[in-house]
Amino acid sequence: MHLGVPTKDNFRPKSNSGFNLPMGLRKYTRVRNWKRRHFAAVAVFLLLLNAITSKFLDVAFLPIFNFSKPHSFSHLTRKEALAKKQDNHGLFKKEIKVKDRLIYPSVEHAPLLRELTLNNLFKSKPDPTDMESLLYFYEDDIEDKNNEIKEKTVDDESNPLNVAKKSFKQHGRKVFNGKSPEIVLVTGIDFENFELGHLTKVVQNRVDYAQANGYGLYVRWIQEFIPLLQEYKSDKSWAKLFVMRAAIHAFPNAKYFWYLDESAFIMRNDIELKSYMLDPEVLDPIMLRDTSIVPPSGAIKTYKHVKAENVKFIITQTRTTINTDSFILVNDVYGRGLLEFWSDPLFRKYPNFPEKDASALMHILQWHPVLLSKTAIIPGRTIASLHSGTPVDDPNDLVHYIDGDLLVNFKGCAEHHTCELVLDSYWKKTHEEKK
Amino acid sequence: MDTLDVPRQRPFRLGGGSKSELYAENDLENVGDEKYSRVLKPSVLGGRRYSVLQLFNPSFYVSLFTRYKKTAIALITLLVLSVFTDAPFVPHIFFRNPQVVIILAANEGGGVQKWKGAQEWSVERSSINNKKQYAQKHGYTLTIKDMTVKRRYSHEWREGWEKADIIKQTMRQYPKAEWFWWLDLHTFIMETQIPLEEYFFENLDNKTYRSVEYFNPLQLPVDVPYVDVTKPVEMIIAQDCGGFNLGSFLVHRSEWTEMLLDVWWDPALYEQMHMIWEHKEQDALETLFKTQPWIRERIGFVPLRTMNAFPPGACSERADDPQFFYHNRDFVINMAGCEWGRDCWGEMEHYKALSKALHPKKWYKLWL
Repeated sequence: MHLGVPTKDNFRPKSNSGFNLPMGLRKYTRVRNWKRRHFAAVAVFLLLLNAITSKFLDVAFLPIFNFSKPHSFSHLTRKEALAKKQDNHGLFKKEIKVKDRLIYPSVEHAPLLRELTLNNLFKSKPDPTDMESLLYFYEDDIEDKNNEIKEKTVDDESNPLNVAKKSFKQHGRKVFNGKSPEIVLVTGIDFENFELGHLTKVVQNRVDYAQANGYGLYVRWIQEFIPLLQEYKSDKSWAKLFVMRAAIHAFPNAKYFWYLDESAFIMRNDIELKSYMLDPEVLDPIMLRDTSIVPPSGAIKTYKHVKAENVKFIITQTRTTINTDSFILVNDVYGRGLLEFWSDPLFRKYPNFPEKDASALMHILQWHPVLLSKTAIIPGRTIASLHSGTPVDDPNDLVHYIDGDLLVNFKGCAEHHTCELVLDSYWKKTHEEKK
Repeated sequence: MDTLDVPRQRPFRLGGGSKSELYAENDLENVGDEKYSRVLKPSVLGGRRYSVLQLFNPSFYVSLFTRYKKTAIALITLLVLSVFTDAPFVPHIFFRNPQVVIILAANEGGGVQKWKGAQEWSVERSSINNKKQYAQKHGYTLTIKDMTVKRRYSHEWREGWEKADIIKQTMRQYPKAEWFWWLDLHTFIMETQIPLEEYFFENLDNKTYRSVEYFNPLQLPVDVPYVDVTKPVEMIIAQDCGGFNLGSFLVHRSEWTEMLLDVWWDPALYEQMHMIWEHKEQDALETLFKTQPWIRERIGFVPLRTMNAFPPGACSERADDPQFFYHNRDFVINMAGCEWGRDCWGEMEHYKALSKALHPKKWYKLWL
C-alpha cells in the first residue's frame, strides 16, 4: 500500500512484460508501438515453431529458415575409399621428369638391343597356350605370386649391353616437365627390322624438324610395347597407338600430336604445321567433305558441314585405304577417347580386320557418327605424300610425292624390304640441296 | 519534382450532388478529366499524366496497392505459395541451376508379344505416380520412355540395347537439361523430399568413389595406366553384388557423355561378345570401363543403397550382406529382377505403404 512515502520500487519504471529485466537492458525491449509488439511476438513464435518442426519432424515449416539435417549419403560411404584416388601414371609407375622437349632413345644402342634379344629385355614366362614361345612382362606388372616370372639380372655397368638395357628400360619412363610445346611429333622405331644407319637417319630427320619449328619430339622403340602387343598377338602396326598414348601422357599440356611412322621422311623443315594446315581457316578449304571413308567408293561418307574448328582428328587416304602412317590428334576428350577406343583389345584381336589398325579405324569412323563428325580427311600430299617408283608428272595428283611436299611416306616398303633404299635416295636428295 | 508528390488531399463531400456541382467552384475545366474515381479512392496517378519517373516513386506503388488491395494480396499470396511451398494447383517457380530430367523406362520387354495383366498395370501406375510426384516437388522433368520390343532391336542384332539410344534421344528432346537420371520401372523413390542437387551434384567429385579398390565384385584391375581422376565425374553409378547396376544411374550432358553414348554399342565388339554379355549395355560398359582409361576417369561410384537399394530377394547370393539391402530412410528402392519369380506387385505395394508410413501427413499440411 502506498502511504505517501516512496519506496525503492516506485522509482522503477512500470514494467510492460511479466518479467523484470535490469535497467541497462530494458531500453532494448521497450516497444512503444503495441501493434509492432504483437508482430514481433508472432514472428518469434513462428521461428520457434519452425525450429522445432525442422529439428524434430524433419519438415521445415518456413522453408527459408531450414534447419533440417542435410540430405546426404555420407553415412553410406567409407572415408578411406573416397580418399583412394589413383595417381595419373603411364605404363610405369615410376617416372623420370626431363626438361628436354626432344625425347628420343639412344639410337646407337640398336645393334646391342638386337643382340640382347627380348628375352633379356623383359621378364618372361612360358606361354601356357604355346610352350615354344614366351610371354613378356614389364617390371611394374602385377605381383608375381608363383615366382614364375624370371629375369636375368646382371648389374655390370662396364658391359655396354647392360648400359643399353638400362637405357632401354628407362626410356619409357621419361615424362616432359617444363614449358609445353604446342605440337609434338611422335614416332615409333623398330630395332629388329632396321639397321643402325637407317634408324639414325629417321631419328635425326625428326629431331631436325622438331628443332627447326620448336615442337616437342617423342620417339619410342616399338619393342617397348611387346608385352602389350603380345597379349592378343596383335601386329606391330598397332604399336603406333601405344606410342601415341604414351606421348600424350609425356606431354600432357601439348595441344596437337602428330604421329609420323618411321616409314616417312620429312623433306621440308621450313613448313610449320600450324599455319600450314592446323589453323581452322587453313584446314577448312582442304577438308575432303562427302568423301567415302573406305576409298574409293565406300557407302559411308564424311560429313558435308563439319566446321574446321571442331576437328579433333586429321588423317589422309591412299587410293585404296586409310593411311595410318601419319595422323594428327587433338589432345582433348574426343582425341584421347578416339585413340583409346581405337586401341581397345577387342579391336586388336578381332579377326575380321585384314588391315589391322587401318581397318579398325575405318570401322570406327563408319559406325560412330560423333567420332566421324570430329574427323577430317585431307588430301594425301599434305601430311603423307606417297613415294612412287615412277616419277609423277601429273601436278593434280593429290596422293604421290612431288618435290616441294612436306614429307614423303614410303608406306608398305617393309613388305618389299626397300625401306632403307628408298629412304637413302631421299636422304641424299635433301643433303644435295643443302650443299 | 512536384509530379512525384503523394496524391493531394481530395475534397470529400458526403451526399454530393451531380458531378458538375462537385467541381463547380474550383476547376470546371477539369470535369472530363478523371481526377477522382467513383469509388472514392485516389486514382493511381492523381489525375496526372503517366510518366516513367512514377515507377521510381514508392508512393506510386503505395497508391497502386491501396487501389488494388485485394488483387495485390492475392498475387502476393500466390507468389509466396509458388516460391516457398509445394502446394498443388499453383505454378511453381524454381531458382535452380542444373535442370534434371528423369527418364523412366516403362513397358520393358512388352508389346504385342506380352500383354500386361492387371497387376502389371498397377505396378506401372504406382511407379509412374511416384516419379511424377517427385519430379513435381523438385521441379524436375519426367519423361516416360516406351521400351517395347522393337524390330530394329530384334535378336542377333541389338536386342535390349535401347538405353543409349533413349538417353541420346532425351538429350536432344531437352536441350537445356544437364543431368539425366535413368530409372527402371521397378523402382520406387522412398524419400521424395531429397533433392538431387544437394544429395548428389554439390561437391560431387568428393563424395563418389573414383576407384574400385574397396568394392570390386567384378575383380576389375584397380590401377590402370593413363587414368586422370582429376577429371570431373560425368556419370554416377552403383555396383551391386554382380557388378555395375544400370537400374538407376545419372549422366551429365558433356562431350564425354556424347562420346560414351556413341561408342557404347559397336558391332565389332558386339559380334565378339554378345554371347558373353548377358546384361547387354551393362556388361558392355563394364568392358569399356576395364579397358579404356578415358571412360574410367569420369565415372563415379556410389554405394548401392544411395540410389538403388535392393529388397530382400535380389542379390540372393549375398543375402547376408547388409550393404545391398534397403534400410528405412534409404532414397530409392530398386526391385531388380522381381519379374523373375518374385512378386513385383506385392513388393511395390509393400514399399509404397512403407513410404507412406515413414512420411505421415503433417497436421499443418492441408494438401498432399
